[in-house]
Amino acid sequence: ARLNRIHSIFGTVDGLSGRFVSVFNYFKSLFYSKFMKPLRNGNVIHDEPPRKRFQEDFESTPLYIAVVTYINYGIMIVFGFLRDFLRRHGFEKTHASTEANDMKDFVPLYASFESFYTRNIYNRIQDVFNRPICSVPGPVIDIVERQFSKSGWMFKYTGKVLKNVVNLGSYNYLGFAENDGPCAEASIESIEKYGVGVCSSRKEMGNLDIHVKLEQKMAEYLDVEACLTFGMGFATNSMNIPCLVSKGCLIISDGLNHASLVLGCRLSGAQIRVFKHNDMKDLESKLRDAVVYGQPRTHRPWKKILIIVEGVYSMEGSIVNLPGILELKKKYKAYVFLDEAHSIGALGSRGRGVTEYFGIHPREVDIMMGTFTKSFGAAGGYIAGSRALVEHLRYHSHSACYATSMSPPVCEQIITSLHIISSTDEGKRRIKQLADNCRMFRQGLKKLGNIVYGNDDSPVVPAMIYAPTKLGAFSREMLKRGFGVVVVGFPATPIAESRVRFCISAALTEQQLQDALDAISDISDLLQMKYSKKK
Amino acid sequence: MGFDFKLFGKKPTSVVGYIEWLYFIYCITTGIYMLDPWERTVFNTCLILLLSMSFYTAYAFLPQHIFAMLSHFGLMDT
Repeated sequence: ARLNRIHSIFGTVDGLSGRFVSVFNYFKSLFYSKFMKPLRNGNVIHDEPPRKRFQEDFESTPLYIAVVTYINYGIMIVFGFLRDFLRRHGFEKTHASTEANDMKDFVPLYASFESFYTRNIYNRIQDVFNRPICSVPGPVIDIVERQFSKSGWMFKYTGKVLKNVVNLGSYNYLGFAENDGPCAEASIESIEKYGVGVCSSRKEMGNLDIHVKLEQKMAEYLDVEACLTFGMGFATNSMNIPCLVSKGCLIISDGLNHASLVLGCRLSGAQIRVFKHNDMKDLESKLRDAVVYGQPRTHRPWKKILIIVEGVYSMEGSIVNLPGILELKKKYKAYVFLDEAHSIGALGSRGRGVTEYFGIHPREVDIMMGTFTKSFGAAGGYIAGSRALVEHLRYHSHSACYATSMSPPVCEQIITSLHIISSTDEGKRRIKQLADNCRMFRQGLKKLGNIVYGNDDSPVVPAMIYAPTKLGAFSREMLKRGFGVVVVGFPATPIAESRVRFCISAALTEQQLQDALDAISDISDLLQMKYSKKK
Repeated sequence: MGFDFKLFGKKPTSVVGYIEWLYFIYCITTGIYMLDPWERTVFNTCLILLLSMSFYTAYAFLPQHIFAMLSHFGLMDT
């Protein structure tokens, strides 16, 4: 009976049985289209044809490596209990945080699994995380060497610096992290004009003309009506989602969304439902349930339904199925929030992001959010969309009201890099170089036999490692060969699926990538990491 | 760098290197690569004790067990 009710309103999922079309909406759209002309910035033509449905790769874990991973964690947990026992009864000195002596009878603070994991498993391979670098995060970096002792609890700086380590971990997609060149010179000039600190928030005295210029240029670049910029990318998400949705609204977010989106959703007070990563059928069934059944106890209709997705997911390297989502959005009248943190500048033939990659007009996405940290070599975030949305956020956003606005040299860096990407040959060369590098590196890695997750065109390439011991060994061996990589384990990924995440940059030459592939091949042989069954 | 396994760089080809590499893979697979040297010694000692006791038990008692099983199933005269 429940299914029949849903089918009578929307038709079955395959859309073949009879549907009710609103006659009133049809006449309303005819009438209003004569009088409402949307504002346009620029005359950009979107003539790329929409792509066919893409295929993404998530090869499943081989059984023996899953067993090995669980054995690893089992032994580590046994020895973790042993060490905790020794520490608690005084046989060994405790270096971790513990409760104060008079609080020991209270509810324990450090007994959760996260705490146990950090003390006993994470700390042992701590020399592969948080490595300090002392140069600009370009294609090669200088790493400050550290000497660890006492199984990871203590370290000291040896005084040596490892020079010219090839950087495969920074989000430097278009290579704008540089300390000389037009961007750096423009930033220096802006420091001479404005200084470095703004000393005020956007609403008070911190609204500089350089911010207005940046927002205009960003709106032109994205081909939307208006744009609003913020000083911090994480704060853009977490402080602005509460302004858009509130208590009677529904948020349907992808299962693998970033922590900033999750925090923003929780702060807003709206009801949150999660759909499986990139799964359109799951999203559709959740949308249907939401529209038909409304709010949980009262069954009143939801005030708004907001679908939150990311352009490129940084831990999986997958690209969102944007045509599918927009089709569902139009059918069920929901709003779409697209977080293009990793995809702006890196996808699309002119670097305009995931909408250009799919050949979709950006006007179809209601709220486009992005960060300047990844492709533009600066810091901060933006939200773009219709003028009504941006004006609403300008007055109601917590970030605009309380947070200091963006520093002028950072704004100037973004303006110069936008100019380079959109109007010069250098920009076109960088975009093409990034696309070539991605393709070459990913195909090379797949040919070696490693399991690589995600879409073929994304600039983030995660290769699976699974076992925590191999995580530490891989990173150390790569550093010895002169390559700096980022390995990620729990809690950023599921506990049995640790991976190494390579971020491709346009500043890396083909020779460097080929050397990296040779090193990865040798080390994968050494560590028996070539799990893939397709070759 | 503060841990006591040497960094190989690539899979070794010499005989001694190959045996060291086998021990390395054993440590990686069981997870003791991440432990302190004394913890590794404890684990290896326990494992060797367990294995040696199992082998001794097999050596001492297995013929009797096999004989008893076969005669129970009627495949051999008691």
